Amino acid sequence: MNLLVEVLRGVWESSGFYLLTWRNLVMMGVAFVFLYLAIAKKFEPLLLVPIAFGILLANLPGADIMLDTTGGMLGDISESAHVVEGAHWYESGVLRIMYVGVKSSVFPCLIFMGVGAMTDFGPLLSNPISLLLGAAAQLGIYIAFIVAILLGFTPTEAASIAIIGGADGPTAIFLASKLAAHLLAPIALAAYSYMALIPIIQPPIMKLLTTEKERKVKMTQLRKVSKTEKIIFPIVVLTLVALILPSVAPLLGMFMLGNLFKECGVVERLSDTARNALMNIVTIMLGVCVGATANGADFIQLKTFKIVILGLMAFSFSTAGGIMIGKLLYIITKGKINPLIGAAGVSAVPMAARVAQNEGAKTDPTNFLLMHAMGPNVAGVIGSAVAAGFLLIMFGN
Amino acid sequence: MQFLGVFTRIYGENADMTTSRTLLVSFVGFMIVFLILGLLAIFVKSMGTIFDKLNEKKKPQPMPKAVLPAETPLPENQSEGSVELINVSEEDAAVIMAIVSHQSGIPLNRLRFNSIKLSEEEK
Repeated sequence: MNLLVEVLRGVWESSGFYLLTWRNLVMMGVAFVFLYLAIAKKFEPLLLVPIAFGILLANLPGADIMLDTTGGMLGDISESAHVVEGAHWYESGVLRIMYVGVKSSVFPCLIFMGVGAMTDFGPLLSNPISLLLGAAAQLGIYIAFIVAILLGFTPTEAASIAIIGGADGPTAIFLASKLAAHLLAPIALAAYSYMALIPIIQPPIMKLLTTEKERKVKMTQLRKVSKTEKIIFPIVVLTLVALILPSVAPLLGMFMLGNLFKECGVVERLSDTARNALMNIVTIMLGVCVGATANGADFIQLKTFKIVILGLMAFSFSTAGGIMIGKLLYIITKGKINPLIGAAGVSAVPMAARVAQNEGAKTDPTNFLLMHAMGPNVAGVIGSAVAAGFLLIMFGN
Repeated sequence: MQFLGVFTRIYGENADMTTSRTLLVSFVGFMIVFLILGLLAIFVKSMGTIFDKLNEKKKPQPMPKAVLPAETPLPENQSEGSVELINVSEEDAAVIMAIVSHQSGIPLNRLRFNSIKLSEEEK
């Protein structure tokens, strides 16, 4: 009889129910909310489903899915990290081993290659002023950086949090994994969550900062861009930017390589792989691993709450920055630029451009801003990568 | 050699991030983004101008107008000469000449028709 009791006690004490903490429960709740948003509301489901599932997996006590047997060599920098005597690195948790792709920046760079293979720089090349709108929409990064410092974050933490304002998931992960890996989970979650919420965050700011007359501006047809221009552009951008900010070369290099695959027309198989199969594989691994870093014990802190607020602030100021320069260009060009397209400078391709189109169409249903907004939208990707490169050069080691 | 961030190199390893330094870093960072993207805008604009000019040169020149006889043109309501009609009625020939004149945009009295012949397949 005693044996039976001991066995039952052993089973109970090794079960997840026994090890479960309130923090795990909260994080599991967060995972369920994210799954609901992704599946029922279709908010960025390609990212939110793997991220939410990663959160769920990491918060199942006893599963040790993120266990680092090396005591930190595989990226576990939590206080509980320790070397498991006699265990090899490959006996670590399965997601911990995959996490090496995040820690080493391999996944963000591969994602950028896929994004490059899907990007059409045509609207940007036909309207180069888009680049200024893309630059202006990085304002939120620097405002968030200032506020983060004032809130007591270290410069490396502040820089990693601020990059959320770039509205670019891979860039945020790339910078956070290099400058403040311990904040990777809240930063990645905030970045992707706000990207999904762009149709809710941006429109009130757009309406607040523009007049009806400005929103009604119909922009003239774009000039036709030749294939040669589209081939030259990624090569020149990479060369120029990487010579000025070498730290951004891995991210921007992969982005432009993907774009060259698409535009050169002689490697269709590679282009197809980069934008489809490879992109999907890496998205699954990146999403699950990022989600799995959100362990309740480390995640539920006041810092996380501050990061969420700072992220929202960064997004809002970036939107405002793009619109304000859009308004300036509206005055300079005597009403030829619709300031709404400035809001698309916050990367988040193509969601932000769609929001600009929708807001323009609400004021005048015959106004089609989508292609005009795609210029600042892709310029924003370059802008946020440049901003990340600058912060890395300033605070990296 | 380990690469140190520019901030560390300038202010030292344990330097505080004062408000003035924070503002300076933010301002410089924002300006660098503008500078680099501004340079790219200038490059894209220049490239576009060059390619537009090249494309203009490549465009096919408009067809030169048909070389017309140097003689003094006849008044619009007059014509002269004769057309050899081979297995074609006068009515059909008149229609054909009118169509050619209309399609080419050349007045009928400035066109020269030597002959109009029904092709073998149509027989």
